[in-house]
Amino acid sequence: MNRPKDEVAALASTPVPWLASPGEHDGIVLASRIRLARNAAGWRFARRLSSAQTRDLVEQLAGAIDSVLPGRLLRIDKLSPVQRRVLIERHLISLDLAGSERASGLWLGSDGGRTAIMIGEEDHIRLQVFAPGLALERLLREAIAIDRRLESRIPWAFDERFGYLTACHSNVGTGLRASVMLHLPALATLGELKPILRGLEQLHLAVRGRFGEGSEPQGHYYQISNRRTLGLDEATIVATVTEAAQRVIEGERLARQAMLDDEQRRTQLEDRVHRAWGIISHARTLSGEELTEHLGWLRVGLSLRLPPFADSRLSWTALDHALIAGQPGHIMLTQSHAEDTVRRDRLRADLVRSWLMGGNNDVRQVH
Amino acid sequence: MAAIVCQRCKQRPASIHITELLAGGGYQEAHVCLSCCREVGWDAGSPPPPVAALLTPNQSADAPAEAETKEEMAESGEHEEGTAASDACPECGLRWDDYRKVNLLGCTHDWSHFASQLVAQVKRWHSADRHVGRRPGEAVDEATTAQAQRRAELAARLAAAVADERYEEAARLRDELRRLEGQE
Repeated sequence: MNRPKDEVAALASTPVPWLASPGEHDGIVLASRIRLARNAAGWRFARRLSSAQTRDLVEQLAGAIDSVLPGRLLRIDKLSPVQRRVLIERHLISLDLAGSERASGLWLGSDGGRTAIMIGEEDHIRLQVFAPGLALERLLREAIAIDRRLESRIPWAFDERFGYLTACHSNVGTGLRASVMLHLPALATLGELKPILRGLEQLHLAVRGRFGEGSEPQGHYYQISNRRTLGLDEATIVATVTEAAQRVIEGERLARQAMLDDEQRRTQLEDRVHRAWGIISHARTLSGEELTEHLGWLRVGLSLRLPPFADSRLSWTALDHALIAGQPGHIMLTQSHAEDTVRRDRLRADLVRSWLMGGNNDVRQVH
Repeated sequence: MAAIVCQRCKQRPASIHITELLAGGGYQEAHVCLSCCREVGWDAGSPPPPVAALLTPNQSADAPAEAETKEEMAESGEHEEGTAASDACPECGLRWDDYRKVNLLGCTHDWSHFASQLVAQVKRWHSADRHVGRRPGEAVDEATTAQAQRRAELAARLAAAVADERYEEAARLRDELRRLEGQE
């Protein structure tokens, strides 16, 4: 039985399976994602279908997916705006799908959402696989393996010249988008980000905010992905994004070290980390934007073992959890009476303190 | 020695020479004049315009060559020659003007009905017009992955060398990339 309200609330109370900081890269890489766009042969593209045809397509696709990938269907059009927001905040659906009132769905893999398939976005399906850290090559193999099982059930629209056909020319060919989410506060502080991002454009990569197309960079989180999907094979696309990400990671490491090595910069860095900790541990209201910004500096402080975290109980798991569960939709769905912004900001401050300090509000415990 | 003629207007001498690295290896070049660079919206001092924008004929002068989002694609007002705008797809009824507004096709048949316009769009966006990736039923093999990694590493090093004006190293890396692509 499909009980979307219970399902999404349960989801909002669990950690996302694609965050496991710090990983191999000092917390600079948060996660990787592979996305494949596919359309069923013989059907119009999603936006040109009638309401009845759209419902029929969603049911047929969900039935076929069910036979090859264990999981369950969430009908997006039956969810409340807050439930949809939770799915956006967990990167499971796009802003575009969340705003649609047409029949649409999310196939949530039984691996807790590490595999998720959007149904009825601009393309019939968007197959997504996520993992913590830099793992595009492995994710590509996983995505292709699922796609091969799917295409034994659903013949995809494929053309000898253009490859996998999509509703927009920007996705045609492989239909592949390989993305890496990076946290780059030191490069941004030193003003070295812009030339690096220009270099990525030279390699035809796109740099966007944390929530992809249409989102603004917030808290120095950036998503790097391939712009080109045609004329390159899948392995080349993934290798290009991986190589670029590795170079940006190295740049962020060097920028952090440069800040540590310069007295004035080091003071600036320590001040940012201390201020972030001061606000997180003492503030009685905390907006979503403030939380994202300050958590970022705590991540840097913990990664570099700066005071006050040189010998602290603050855990990466708690920081990862706060980054996801402290978002507005998550608080609204898991807490009572959190619709009002003022009350939600108060709740957020209390929740984050308990997550990061283990319920103990004595700051000395983490010194 | 005769001056190189601008590849875009084919009249004025080319005074600007652009080398653009391609993702996954290789590069493309444009030899153009200052007037043509300005026509595609380039200001001196800013990064050079994309080669695809300079070498695509009939492009609106103020259209950015590589729009980021669907809104930007729609706003860029790109015009294409070929099937008349009023010629609707017999399968889904979509007209080319409709596509230009939202950048969403109506059905898979549009890819053949509007092929000439779409080829121009696709070339501009991807700097390619032919799929070379996986076909239905195929896997991604380990050998392809290893070669792709080597190419990507060289392309990234080449981009860094060009950015840092280490031209001797850039030339060596470019030759290495060419050799690698020649072996495949």
